[in-house]
Amino acid sequence: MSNNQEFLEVKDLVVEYKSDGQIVHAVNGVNLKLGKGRTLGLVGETGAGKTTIAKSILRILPDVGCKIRGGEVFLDGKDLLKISENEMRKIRGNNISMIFQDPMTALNPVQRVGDQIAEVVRLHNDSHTNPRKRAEEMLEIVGIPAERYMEYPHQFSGGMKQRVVIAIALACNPDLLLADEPTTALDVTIQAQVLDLIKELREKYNTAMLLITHDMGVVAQVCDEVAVIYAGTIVEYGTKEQIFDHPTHPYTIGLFGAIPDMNEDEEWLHPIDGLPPDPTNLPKGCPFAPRCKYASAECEKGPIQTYKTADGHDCACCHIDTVVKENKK
Amino acid sequence: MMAEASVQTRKKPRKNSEFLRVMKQLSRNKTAVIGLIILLVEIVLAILAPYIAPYDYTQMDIMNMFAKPSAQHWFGCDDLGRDIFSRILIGSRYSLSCGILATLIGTVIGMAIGAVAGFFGGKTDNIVMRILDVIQAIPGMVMMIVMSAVLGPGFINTIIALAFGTIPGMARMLRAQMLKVRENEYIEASVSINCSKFRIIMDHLIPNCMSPMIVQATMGVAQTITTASGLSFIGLGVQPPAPEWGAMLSGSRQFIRQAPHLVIFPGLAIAVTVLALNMMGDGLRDALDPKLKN
Amino acid sequence: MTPVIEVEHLKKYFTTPRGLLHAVDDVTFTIEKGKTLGVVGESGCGKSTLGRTIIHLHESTEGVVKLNGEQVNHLSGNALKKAREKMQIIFQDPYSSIDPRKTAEQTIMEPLIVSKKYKKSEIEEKTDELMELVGIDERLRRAYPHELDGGRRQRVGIARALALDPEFVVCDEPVSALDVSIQAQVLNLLKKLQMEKGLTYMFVTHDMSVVRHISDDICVMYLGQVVEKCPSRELFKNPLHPYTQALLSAIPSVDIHNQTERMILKGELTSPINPKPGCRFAARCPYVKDACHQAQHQEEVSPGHFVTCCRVREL
Repeated sequence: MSNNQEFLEVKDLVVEYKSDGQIVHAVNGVNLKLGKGRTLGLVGETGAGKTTIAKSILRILPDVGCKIRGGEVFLDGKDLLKISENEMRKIRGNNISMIFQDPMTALNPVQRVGDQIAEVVRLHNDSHTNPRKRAEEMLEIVGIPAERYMEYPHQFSGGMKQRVVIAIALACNPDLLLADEPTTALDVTIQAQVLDLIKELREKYNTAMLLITHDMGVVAQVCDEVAVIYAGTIVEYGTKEQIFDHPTHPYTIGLFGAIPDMNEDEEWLHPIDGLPPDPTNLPKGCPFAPRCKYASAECEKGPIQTYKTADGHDCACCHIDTVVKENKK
Repeated sequence: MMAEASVQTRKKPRKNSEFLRVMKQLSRNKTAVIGLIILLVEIVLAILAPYIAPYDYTQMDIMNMFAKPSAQHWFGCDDLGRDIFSRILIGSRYSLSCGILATLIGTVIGMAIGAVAGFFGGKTDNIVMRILDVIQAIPGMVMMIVMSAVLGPGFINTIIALAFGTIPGMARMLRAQMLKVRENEYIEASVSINCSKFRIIMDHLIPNCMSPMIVQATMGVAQTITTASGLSFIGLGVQPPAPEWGAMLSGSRQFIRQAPHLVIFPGLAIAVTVLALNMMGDGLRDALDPKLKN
Repeated sequence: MTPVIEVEHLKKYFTTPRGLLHAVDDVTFTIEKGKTLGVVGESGCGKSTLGRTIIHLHESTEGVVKLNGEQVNHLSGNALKKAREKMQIIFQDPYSSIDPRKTAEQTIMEPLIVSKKYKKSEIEEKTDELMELVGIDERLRRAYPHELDGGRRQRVGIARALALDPEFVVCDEPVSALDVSIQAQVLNLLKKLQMEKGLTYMFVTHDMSVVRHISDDICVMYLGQVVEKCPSRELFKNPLHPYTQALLSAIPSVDIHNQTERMILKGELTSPINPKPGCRFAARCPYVKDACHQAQHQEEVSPGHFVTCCRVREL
């Protein structure tokens, strides 16, 4: 992780939702850093706050009942949470794009796919580029023949639709791509194609990417750095090698343990007992403490500090030494 | 011990607890309770109307023609000098029962038809829907006039005619809902555990289609009351001098400029009833939906 | 011993406005008692339809399904009801497979009430047993589905499927809607139940690591046809059909140091409507030859390992 020249920096982000008079603590003090051309994987389970983080960066959270309580989001040194909506509109699409999870609903069903790409170009680029030409070019880049410009989304399969969504996201050469589970809705063989495409395009344009996923396998293939998020808090943060070779937080270890192993036969899987905490009523200390076998009174006292592990990555666990020792055996 | 305790708690009859849950839920909803209270008051007034009405509703009083609301005549008097308050009280007996009964009957029959069409689909659906198309193609008022003319005037016949008018809309709506709900896997699941068709319709499909139906039905009552007035207006519905709200409304249209109270009070009576029904209907819909439990 | 389930040349076609959709096309297999057959394939390959056709949620177009040696796919009326009690299904999406207006308890006891075999007290007793069996707390008895998390909902679905003591259960992607940590809980539960009750499973999924973990034998399906069928271990060690090879290599591996060279397929699934004769994978297959466009036959390449590919021996 290069410490100078961070392209995207999220500092102490806190986001809350209000629902039925209760406050949902979706994101609780998240810090992230992302260099140009790097890819950060944000891994966590349903409801961990992954998508909320991405939406906060892009400032597209719903206006009603949702509030960014605190924190800063720097893109190239500019705090995105402080600029006006007009300025933000220019940044969206031009500098930051987002790929949504479900390609089936992300496209307008009654507009030609080519026009949907061209529209983005028209809205964001200077007058020099011909939108139609650029759209055709983008289709070719994502591996769809330009002749299909005039077709409608229903004539495309799921994988093709996701390619179109990617083409729209990349049409203006964004510096930062927020990919929210871009392959979850796709089949494995199609997923492989799309992941390959994303990797290729990222290298070609030196785009920084925040990849949100729950699939450790996808992270292993695409990311440089990994942040593991649990109940709105980052519990472990480091390079891919650090996290995959030396997972240290009990939650990360549990997550790896729960995946059926492709190389070994085991009679039983090792699930993490219990359930994620209720986001309206989070424990005072470590959010993972109620499910953790290392938990002690210390874990429940108050906010958990972040510790450096032996190989230098961050881990928010106060029993870090015990965990490391036990998992070596 | 634990097991015993649990068996003990289960002795309570289940059906009852479900009913209690809905009632409890309903009672927690302020708007619904207000709606319910207004309706109950109206019903009590309707029952007691002959005893509490200050004047005879047919008694004409030339001196008080178009009298403004006063201490003697709370709501004023109409073009024949009859006391409007008394007429509204007595009229509530006809209007309320007409509106609520006709809608209820129409809804039940409409739902039965819609359920058959929506569940069986294919040919059955096609035939049923085409018949409904034909019925709906005839303007509602004309249909009603034909029905009343065939059945003859009178209270019961009016209700039958009005109920008939609400059937197609209800059937159509339930069918549309059903086609949507039918796609859920829990319907397939109930087939796999050998539920009979009747059970699937009654236990799984209809409860999950109820929400829009309740709203539609409460709105339907208002519609029915006004339609009933149309029938009385042309002499086919409830026979004069029975003071039915809709008839009072349409009968005094011509005086709206010089004596607006002739129109305002019956109109208000209809509006309040409809509002109360809507408030209660919304509350009932929410109470029936376990998702809105808390 | 007769296998619990025998499927012979089973076909299920749907008529669509654009032609005949070959959802399941000539599928044959058997499952022994207490074993699990994994069925893998991508969306639209007919794996879910196959499961539903076997337990008679869909009428089969052609072919034979036998339960304990007796043909069941032509049954109707009471005989069908009886057969269905022995064959149950666990659905993919616990959010849509449970009636949102029924409590956990009501959902679980419904099959018992419908079967009319039990007295009221027996039904309550059995419901308690089932809830304990699948691990639903006593306090959640009156909970509605929206108050339960995905894993618990799936447990309710499992309890409902097991209420009538079936012998054969189709698990239609039962864990794909769940998070990894919860997924492991449910997989362990399914395995435990299989051991305790001697259940026979047909496990439909698109997740190769899950199918490897739970299955004894695996069927790989592509556009309604079985392209490869063999014991689970053999399939992962020695995949022979080009599609299986592509499928296996496409799985993103968690092992970051040994990322193998991936075989990335070109193109997309072709339509299963009015398919041409010959291998349906031919359009995407890197080894395609003229012979591939003729009708294909299943071959037993080694004992228990069946492949439908005319070039399998050359490759």
